Amino acid sequence: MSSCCTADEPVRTRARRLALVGNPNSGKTTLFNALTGLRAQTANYPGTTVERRTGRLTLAGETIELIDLPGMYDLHALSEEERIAVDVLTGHSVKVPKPDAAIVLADAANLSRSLFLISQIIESNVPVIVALNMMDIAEDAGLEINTAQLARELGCPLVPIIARTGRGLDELRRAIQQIRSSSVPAVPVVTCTACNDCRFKTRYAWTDAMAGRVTQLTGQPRNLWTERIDHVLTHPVGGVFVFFAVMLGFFFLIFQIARIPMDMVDTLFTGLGGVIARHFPEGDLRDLLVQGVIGGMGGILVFLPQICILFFCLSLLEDVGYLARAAFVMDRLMRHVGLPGKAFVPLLSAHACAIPAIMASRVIEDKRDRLVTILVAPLMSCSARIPVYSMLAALLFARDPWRASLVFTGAYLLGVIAALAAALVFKRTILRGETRPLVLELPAYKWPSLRTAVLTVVDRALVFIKNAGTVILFISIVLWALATYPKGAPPPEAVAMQQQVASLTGPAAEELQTKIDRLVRHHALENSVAGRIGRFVEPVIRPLGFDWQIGIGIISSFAAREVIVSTLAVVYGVGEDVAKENPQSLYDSLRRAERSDGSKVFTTATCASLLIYYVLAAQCLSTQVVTRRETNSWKWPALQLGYMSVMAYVASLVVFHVLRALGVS
Amino acid sequence: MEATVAMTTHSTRCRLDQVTAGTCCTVESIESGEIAIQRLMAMGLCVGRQIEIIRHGNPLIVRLLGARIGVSARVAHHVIVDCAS
Repeated sequence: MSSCCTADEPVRTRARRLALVGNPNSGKTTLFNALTGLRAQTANYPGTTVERRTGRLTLAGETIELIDLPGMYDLHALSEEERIAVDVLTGHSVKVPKPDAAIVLADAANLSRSLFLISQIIESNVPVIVALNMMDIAEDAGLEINTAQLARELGCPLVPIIARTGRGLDELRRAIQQIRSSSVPAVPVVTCTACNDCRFKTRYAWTDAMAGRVTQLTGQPRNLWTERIDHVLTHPVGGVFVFFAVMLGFFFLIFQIARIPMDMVDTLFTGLGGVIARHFPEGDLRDLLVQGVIGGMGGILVFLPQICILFFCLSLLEDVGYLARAAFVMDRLMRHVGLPGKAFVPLLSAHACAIPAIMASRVIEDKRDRLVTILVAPLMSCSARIPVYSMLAALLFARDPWRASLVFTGAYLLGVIAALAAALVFKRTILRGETRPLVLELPAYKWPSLRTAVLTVVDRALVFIKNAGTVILFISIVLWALATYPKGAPPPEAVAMQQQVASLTGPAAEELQTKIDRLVRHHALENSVAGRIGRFVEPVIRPLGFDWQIGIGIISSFAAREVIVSTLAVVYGVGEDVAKENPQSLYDSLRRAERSDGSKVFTTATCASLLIYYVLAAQCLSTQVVTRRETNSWKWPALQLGYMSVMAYVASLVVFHVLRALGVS
Repeated sequence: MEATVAMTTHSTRCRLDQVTAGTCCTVESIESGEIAIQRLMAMGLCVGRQIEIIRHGNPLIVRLLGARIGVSARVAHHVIVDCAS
């Protein structure tokens, strides 16, 4: 009986669709990449946040579409991911048509469990090809499998493969070519009538018997390597120690190695801005291109190297089998804040940038746990906060590097504590629910696949660039426009000075010209919409110790946090170029900055308040955009922005007034 | 229903989260209260199955059908095993 003939379009007029199904850790991603290569596309299943990877392969002139379904153990799904996989496979998905056939990936080293899933899929009336993967691991474990007999008993084509090395892939391609929608195997259906419990028992009795018939144990059955390594890596104390060592190395790569390509990106965009500045006539279009487009893109794409390194390392760690161990050892610690062990790596990654962290939170199975992780991840101090912390630490303790480094440590700690506390609160209130208890397979250790890692990086980088090139670009253009328009006449002092320039020559004229430029920019910003908003919000931020100029900085840094440094440089008349090349001069002039009544702007209380504000506030619209993408709703990014802003406001308010009451100023 | 499992001093039956590392045992019964236990059952845990405790603690590690599976003690608590063998 063929179920595919009832599909709305005839098979002949469209590409055949094949689904790739299998247990988690069965090597599905490796096989998918080996079959489709770079031609894979990633999108979400409509209306969900579950990732859907599709690719194409061409066999003897025929194009076949391959869908990578989420990994699963059972057709009676527990998680959202599994439910989608089941719906697609059984033709219950409204948006994704039923596949013409399924390639079921089986683990040769764990045949009985693989047969559990295979038998269920065969029963759902889909033509099946079994790809018996990890033949090498089975051989190492001393297992000999009679594949011909297994194929006969299952009644469907079966190809032994090693996806990692490519062994058996040609045979698999031939089998894919030959499979037709009419070739539904006639397998003895495993009947089960009674309760939930025996559903497993009956089917496993059947799979155990079949696995026993086709498998022969010829040698030592254990993978001693995995055992020995795990003895250390899953140890309650040693495992945590190793975990932090691994993470230290991970962060060294992200912060130190990424610095080189980050500088290159920075130089590239600065150079590009320079080229355009030279070739375009002075005017709004030039400013838009240089400051809005190139400045905005450069400001966000500078994080691309960190994101690439982060996903490269994560992919390798996962492929080796280490991430499962990391989730295992961190599970006990994370449970105290109501999150599973798997939330740890995304939260740690958020110290580089919240965007990849939110993207990496897909590993968390439970939807509520994942939402909590996404909501709190931006509280971790990301690298865009570093320039802000540097500035404020220098303003607070100029002559005392020890105390300045304490400011840094304190800011990072505050971020972590706030994130964990927020997680706890969310788990007790709107996202109430028990943390999904750990049931996680610890796969055998193996060599990682560089190909998979590179493809993952390309995939993630494209998602990031797509975001940066659309929504984030739009945001930075809007913020540029706010800081530029409306344009007024230059201030009278500047006009007067301009007349003086004519009478001067050499360095004196240049110096005066620089001074005029700064004055003009300062004046323009003050009169722009951003400047007006700064004045407008001043009553709101005044209780935090901020004036309207800091307000402009806060508004402009919604594009990226570090922008506040260059904005303050303009607002306080230092000049962006000086701020970049000689930060000390910026700090000095900020320190000297006075209000109209002669009091200092950057008092200790104001600096501390601003620091707390920048640790806690959701000062990054790009993060909100990614949260929207990953949660499929504007509700969550709005909540994220809302709760973080309120928390930042209240904390800054308290800090400012406590410090003032204590007489610190 | 935890109270229904009588554990006398002679009995070799106990809950999976109480078994020491290195012990092989047979699954006697499974209390299917916890949803997460369904996943464990889909991975092959069923009555009569021989399993081995590789690491005791929370979470613990159990060998099930040749795979190593990390299990939260809360889930393991609902699995009654016989350690006589």
